[in-house]
Amino acid sequence: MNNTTPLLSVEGLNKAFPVGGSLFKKPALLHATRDVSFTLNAGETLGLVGESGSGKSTIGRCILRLHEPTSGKVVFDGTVITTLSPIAMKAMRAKMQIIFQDPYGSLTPRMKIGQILAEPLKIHTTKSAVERRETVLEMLTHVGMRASHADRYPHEFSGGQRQRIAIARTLIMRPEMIVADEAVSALDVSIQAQIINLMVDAQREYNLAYLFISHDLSVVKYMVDRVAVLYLGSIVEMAKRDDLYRTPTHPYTQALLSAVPRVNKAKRAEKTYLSGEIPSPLNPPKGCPFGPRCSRVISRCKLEKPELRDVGGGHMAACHVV
Amino acid sequence: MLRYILNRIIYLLPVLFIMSLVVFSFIHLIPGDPVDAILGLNASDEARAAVRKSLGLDRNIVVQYISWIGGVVSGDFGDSVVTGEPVLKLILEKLPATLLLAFASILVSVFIAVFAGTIAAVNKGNWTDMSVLVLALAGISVPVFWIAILAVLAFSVTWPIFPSIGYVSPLEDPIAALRHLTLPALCMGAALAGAIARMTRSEMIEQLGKDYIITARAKGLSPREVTYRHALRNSLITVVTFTGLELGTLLGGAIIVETIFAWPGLGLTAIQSIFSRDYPMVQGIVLFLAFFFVFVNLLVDISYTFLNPQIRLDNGK
Amino acid sequence: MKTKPLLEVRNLKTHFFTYNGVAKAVDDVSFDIAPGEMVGIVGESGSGKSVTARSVMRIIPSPPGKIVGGSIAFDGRALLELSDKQMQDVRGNQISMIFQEPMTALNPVYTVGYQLREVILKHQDKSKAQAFELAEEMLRLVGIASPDQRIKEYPFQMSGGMRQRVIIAMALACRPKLILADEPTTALDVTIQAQILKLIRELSDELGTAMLLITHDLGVSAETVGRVLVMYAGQVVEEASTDDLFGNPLHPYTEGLMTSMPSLASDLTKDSGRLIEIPGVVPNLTNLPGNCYFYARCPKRTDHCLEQIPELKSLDNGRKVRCILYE
Repeated sequence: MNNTTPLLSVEGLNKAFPVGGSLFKKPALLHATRDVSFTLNAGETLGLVGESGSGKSTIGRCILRLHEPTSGKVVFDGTVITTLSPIAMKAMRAKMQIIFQDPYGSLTPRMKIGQILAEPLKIHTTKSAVERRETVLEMLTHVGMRASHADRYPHEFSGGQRQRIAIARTLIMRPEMIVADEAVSALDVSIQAQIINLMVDAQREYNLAYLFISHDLSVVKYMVDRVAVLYLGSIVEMAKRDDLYRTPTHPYTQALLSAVPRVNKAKRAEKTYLSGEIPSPLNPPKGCPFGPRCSRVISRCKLEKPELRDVGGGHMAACHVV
Repeated sequence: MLRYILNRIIYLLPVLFIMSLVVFSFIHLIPGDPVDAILGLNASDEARAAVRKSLGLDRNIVVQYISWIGGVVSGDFGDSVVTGEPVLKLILEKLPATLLLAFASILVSVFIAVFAGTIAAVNKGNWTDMSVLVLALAGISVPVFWIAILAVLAFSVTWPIFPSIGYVSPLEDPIAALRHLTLPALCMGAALAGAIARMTRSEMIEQLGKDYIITARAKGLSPREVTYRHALRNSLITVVTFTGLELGTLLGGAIIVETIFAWPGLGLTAIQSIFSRDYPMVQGIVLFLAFFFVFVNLLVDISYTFLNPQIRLDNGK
Repeated sequence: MKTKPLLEVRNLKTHFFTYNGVAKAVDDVSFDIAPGEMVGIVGESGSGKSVTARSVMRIIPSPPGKIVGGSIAFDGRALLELSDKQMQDVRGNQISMIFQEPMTALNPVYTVGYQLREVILKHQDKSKAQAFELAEEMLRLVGIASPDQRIKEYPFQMSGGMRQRVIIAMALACRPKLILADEPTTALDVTIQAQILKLIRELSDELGTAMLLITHDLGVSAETVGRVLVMYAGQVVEEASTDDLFGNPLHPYTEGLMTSMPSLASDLTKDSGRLIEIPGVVPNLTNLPGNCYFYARCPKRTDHCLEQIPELKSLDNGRKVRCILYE
């Protein structure tokens, strides 16, 4: 695998959902993501951070074509997947997996754990039932469960355990990339740490790339190599982890970081309180989407949407003022 | 809100059209020749041809349909073979009695059922709940003619409280009208009441488990206020839909109830027309009832706008 | 405590009688809240923090739950001895509660104004018009712009942050002496959370309302309250002032929580080291051991820990810990 070409390349990704509409009225368009572009290298973790309406989950799903992008190009491992036929896409799916937020909804309640884990093997490989069973048990113990768990049903396990099972399911096909969509958000703090450690270990062992989608800036800081901050469907800042967290450039990133409550009193900064609400993606503001709530807004911000540009050393920001 | 209603009315038109096709086909698919029914089996060929011609049965079936539906749209449902009078006129004469009966039974059964369902939900699991469920099941399962006959036996014969047959117009004598109305209305409403009670119960149980109920309790509202003002109000949306759908069952029961209690409504007339092979009459009544049913459902849909603020405000964003 | 406490909870026990056994959700919890004070309860799921608050309000679903022991004194009255009707007078009036999910906490078929007026008319001797006015005033107090328009809106027309403001308005409408806030900002976006926490702090100061803030987020607790209780498996395992607790946690569980949490303030990333996790899971509340409940997961455990369940001991500096290491 060539070290200089990225594993995943997203160019100009757009996804619009039709909303409302009836016999008399054309539906309105909700632009969940607007013209999003980024890359992800093999073995690397890119964090997608944002609040409601940021479009981060939609991006993750469009990359896997769980939603069909409205326009744009996604290139994975050298192949343009946005134009693949369903059969070809199916083969691709073995290499790109997803972990969802809800550990209680992502496992089929009527299947035993062993069956759930064996399913991808059935679909993508020609292993015999005995071989599949062996692989399943191996993976199960690898993620910290016991072999005896394979014959039980999902409802018999806790949230953290189910997330381990979900991770086992993604790892069983030795994928190259995993989209983690709020994978630890629904877990208790003490369990979260266990799952985070498990994911980091798995990354090292299998040279996985993660697209780590989360609203929790602290967890993201621990997990990622690079971060992209999203607001109302567009990337407003993208940089290496340390660059972003130490010197956030975009006013939204700065407000976001200051809003996070901190335990350590000494490290607590002066908070920037944003006024107003996050606007609805159905009716985005003209020009810069963050304009109405920004303390540094100038007249240009209302007219022209800023492009993502390099503000020094590969640190990207979409702002007229910085 | 207006857009919603307009939407509903426009969707109605294809439904009415298809229904008329179905009614027409059904009548003409019934085995047996109407001419035989009218003239008997030993009529001469000329007499048969004459009758066939007068009924328009010698024409192409599509032409028959178009001619019929054209008449319907302009209010001419044809003439009764038995009395010779216009079908529509006869229907409209008999309609008030059926409407009175239907209205009374819906009113009583809905009231009782919603209340019973609520009590059952609040007392979920204990004897009160079980009793309501058993009674509801009985109401749904026991055939209406059996209930009717038992009711007559109990309340007209053994304890002569209510008259067993007949009809008195409320405009003439309200008290007597009420006495005659009681048994038929209760019998007809029994099945509907059972179904609504169960539906109310399950919907209430669901609503009572929701977060806004806890907020209501935390505000210091009494259990009654929480149950009726908050939970029930939300349950009504489903209960009203359900009632609208179940009205069809009610109308079906009308035919039997009217026959048993000699209630001179559309149901009784329908039975009589069927027995006398009065095809235009039967066709007319069935179509009329079907249109009526669709119209009632339209009213149910419109009532949503009052019950559900999200629809009233066009799914405000 | 120098002033008489507003709320005195002593040895509270709330159990749930389920098919699988008796879940001891709250098992011998005691604490005080002074008038106007802001106290926090921190814990994970199954810790009993929510059940504690709901026990004070006496809104535990019964069956299967039941307050089986202890006492709750509020403003001099014994809450557990009040009749249902007397308790209804207290709820929403002297003690209010706000909950986690603003999206579902409001009745969808009534306007916001109606729901606000409802609590006002229930507890205060006001006319409908006066209640209307007060409702509008409350919306303004919680920072909602154009309250005269908003008051006629339905919950579905409002965002999560705004709904939570409405809920706060409803909770404060009758000027209660105590507010129980159960994860009030957990379901909100980070920037909205900051706004709402600021609002809660300011209003509490302004109106002199005491607050019990329940959360799993240590940061939220650290920035909002003055004193914190840490709960685990139905018991209080540590109690201290915010600065003391987070600056120098004593109980191994508290320590474990803090080291297993990634934080913006620390430089720890996946490249520099692992998160120090607390192994295992929370014990089953229907099957609690006869010794320290945290024993199985504790990095500092010894054989002595198996002897009995440790008591919550008061230390000299006003702190309390439930651990044999401090006895």
